[in-house]
Amino acid sequence: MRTYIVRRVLLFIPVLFGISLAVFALLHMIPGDAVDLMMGVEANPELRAQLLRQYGMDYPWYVQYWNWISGVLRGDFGVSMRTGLPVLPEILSRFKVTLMLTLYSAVVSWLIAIPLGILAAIKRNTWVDGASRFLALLGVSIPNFALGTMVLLVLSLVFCYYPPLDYTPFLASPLGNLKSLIWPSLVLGAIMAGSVMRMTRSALLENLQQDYVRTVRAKGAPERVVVLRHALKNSLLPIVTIVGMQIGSLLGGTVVTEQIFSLPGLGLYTLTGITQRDYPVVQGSILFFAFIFVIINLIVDILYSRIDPRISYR
Amino acid sequence: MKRFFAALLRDKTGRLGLAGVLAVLLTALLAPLIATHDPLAMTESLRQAPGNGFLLGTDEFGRDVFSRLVYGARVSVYVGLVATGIGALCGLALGLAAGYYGGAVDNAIMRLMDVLFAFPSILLALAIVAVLGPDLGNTIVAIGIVRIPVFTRTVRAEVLSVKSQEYIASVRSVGVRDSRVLFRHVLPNVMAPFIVQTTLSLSSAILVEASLSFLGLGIQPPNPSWGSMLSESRRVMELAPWTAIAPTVAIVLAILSFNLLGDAVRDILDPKLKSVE
Repeated sequence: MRTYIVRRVLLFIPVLFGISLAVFALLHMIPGDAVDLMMGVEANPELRAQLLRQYGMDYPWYVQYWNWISGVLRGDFGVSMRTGLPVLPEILSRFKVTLMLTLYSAVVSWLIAIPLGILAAIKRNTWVDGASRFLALLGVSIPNFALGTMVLLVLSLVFCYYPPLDYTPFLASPLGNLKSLIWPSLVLGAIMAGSVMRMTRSALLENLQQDYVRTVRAKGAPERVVVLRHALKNSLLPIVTIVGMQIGSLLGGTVVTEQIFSLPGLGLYTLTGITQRDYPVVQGSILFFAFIFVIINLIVDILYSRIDPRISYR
Repeated sequence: MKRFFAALLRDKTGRLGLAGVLAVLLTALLAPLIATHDPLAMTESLRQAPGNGFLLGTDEFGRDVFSRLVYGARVSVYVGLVATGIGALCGLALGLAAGYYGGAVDNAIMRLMDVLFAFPSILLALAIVAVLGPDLGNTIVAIGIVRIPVFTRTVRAEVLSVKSQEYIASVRSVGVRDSRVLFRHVLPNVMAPFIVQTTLSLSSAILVEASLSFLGLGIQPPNPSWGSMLSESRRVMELAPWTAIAPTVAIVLAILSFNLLGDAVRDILDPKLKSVE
């Protein structure tokens, strides 16, 4: 087991290196660089050369890459070309918002998915099961921006309510934090609930057919105890795994959701960076996203092999 | 083929999905015949409620929402099909090569896929479009690239399991060339999961296109796409809710149909994958 983890972590280094190279290469293929964009139409060759020098963009690409990546390794992600602020502190402070959003959304999805999944498994092949299957399919078929827009529309038209436009950090006011995150979390959580619900249902059904469940039933345990104490407990592991996998796509989903609800998270930061071609911002935040994503995948893989001993640690 | 369609039609999900997908395809194909107005023409009736000559009302520029929706289907179908095609073919080639040759080839390809896989898909598509510039062709390329790793992994895994079968060893032992083994004996056996993956990928390609257009990095205005229609509607949706509701319903129904079809195709072609029902 330990060698497996060490191996996986070591395999990570080339992947991370590849990611950094990919991010860098991608941005340097942009036709018309950031300096062109900053100067607009009145292109002055002297000013251009000076700006290129200021941002270290007059070096060959491999020198630029080296300058960037050696900085990153030292915790220096460069400064934004637009605001002049260092990128890393900005990423970290904005990631807090994205992280909170992700956590709230995960909780929302469990609150929806696990009870409904249990219900669907118990009432298998009835209309309840059918309805939950349809809801799950609907969940994977609604893009988060569409659901988000509909939520805003219903809130404003029916309830005359507009979610707050400014973000309140959790430490400043937990209630205010909840207020600014509740709607986007409901949107992301509802979408994520579909697959978690299906997983809960099929894992529970599989366990309910096992011999030990028959033994428990034979002992005369009430059905509630059979399902909740015995079968569900053994089904939790695959459920945890699918939740871990979902958190990765949840992170991607935050990009669009943050834009709709104007939350100052990492997704919105990246998006703004992309539209303004702010290289250090885009490079840094995409690298950061990929880094988190890869770490989560690693944790899920390790968790998975721990949960299911049939998976070999090769 | 005949048996496949018979099975598809027997299945309730399959029938529903197929009907929805056909409706979307026909709408896209026959857009000029179905649309009641020019999707780009601005009329004097701004934000007019549905009815009165405009089936689904007009938007903030007085354009007919229904006709824009119909033309928007073209974008979704076109991007969905071509992008999935790019991802599927590249993935098939890479997966075959990685699985069949193994060793250094396999390692190189799969590490590259790991890198591509390390980005949340919407973010990778966004970054690629940002580099290439927002337009239809680049959106397709971006979504296609994002889909490659899924196909490569599916095909490679299948090739690995086929390769260990005895009949492949026996074919090789009589001296059949690599290319012939690959195309005559391995390829047909990886087709089932490949087709399943292709059908399932169509819906996510359409979803990513809509998201990109929503963020203003896909299809550029004034051309209609469901994502950009929804994004434009946000400015006026309190006054004209139909401009937001219509594209939402269209997006959800289209993606739902492709998902239903994908589920049905998977159940038929790959019963192993079917969860406990």
